[in-house]
Amino acid sequence: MRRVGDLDLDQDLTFEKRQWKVQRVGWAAMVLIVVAALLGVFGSGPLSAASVGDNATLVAHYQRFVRHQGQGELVVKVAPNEAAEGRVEFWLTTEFLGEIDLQGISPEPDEVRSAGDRQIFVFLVDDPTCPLEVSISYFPNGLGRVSGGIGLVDGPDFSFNQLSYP
Amino acid sequence: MDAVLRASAIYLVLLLIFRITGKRSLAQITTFDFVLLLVIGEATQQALLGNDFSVINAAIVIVTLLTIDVGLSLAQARFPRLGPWLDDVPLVLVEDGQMLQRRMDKSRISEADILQAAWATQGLERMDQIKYAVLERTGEVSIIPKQES
Repeated sequence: MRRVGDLDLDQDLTFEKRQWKVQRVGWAAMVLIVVAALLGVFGSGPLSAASVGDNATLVAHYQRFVRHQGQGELVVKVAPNEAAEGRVEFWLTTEFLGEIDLQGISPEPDEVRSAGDRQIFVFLVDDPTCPLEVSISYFPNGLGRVSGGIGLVDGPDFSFNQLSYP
Repeated sequence: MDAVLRASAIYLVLLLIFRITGKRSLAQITTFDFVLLLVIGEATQQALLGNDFSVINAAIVIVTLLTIDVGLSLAQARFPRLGPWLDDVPLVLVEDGQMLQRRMDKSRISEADILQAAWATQGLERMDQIKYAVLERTGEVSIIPKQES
């Protein structure tokens, strides 16, 4: 035990000064974390919002950054006149579907079928000239980089990547 | 496995955050500090338990937290240099009635905080009656009064 004046005290000024410096750096890091969180680096926010696809066929809006067991949403917009015989069919890779807990699809697909490493979602539409918007909500189940693919049946393939935080 | 990893991660994150925010952050100085601690508890609860509300899961989480706690205290006993990093060190703020202003500023302790501790714990009335004021590891201010002559 050290002696400080008349006190037996474990005071350590060298350590204390070092600690003050580390704490200042830590406070700056905390501010950066809050700003990054506001910008969406850890989940929803402007830096996280991303989309893939093209306006002629299908656009998927997704989040670059998601959190394990947090809330995730994939919004698929299918361009008008892509329905064949009143059916819009798009697929998602089973690799991506294996990394999420699907919570709901709105509107609900009229048919879901499997085709190799893809799952095809079929929607019956009354008016093929109207665009179709489908919202898929899920809990991310994977950790780290999660790859997904989406596209219209007989259309081009689009791939996207998400980072899933623990 | 999940529960142990969750509990360990939360323990480390909390330890890091509270060591960075300094001695005063854990001291329940105002009612609001107390409320803040409760809210932090609420925020960590979900991450600790996940979606599993079973008794076993709660038991595993508690045992893991306490095991790490005991483990770290044993490590401190074995490696004394770990102590300051994990538990902080005390700091003298007032010596013979003289405030050490730089230390007080760096520790975010005001004159009023010291005087409050002085009259609450020792019934002292003025700064010059204080021989030592020490900011403890816990964030509390201990007062040692000058001897009456």
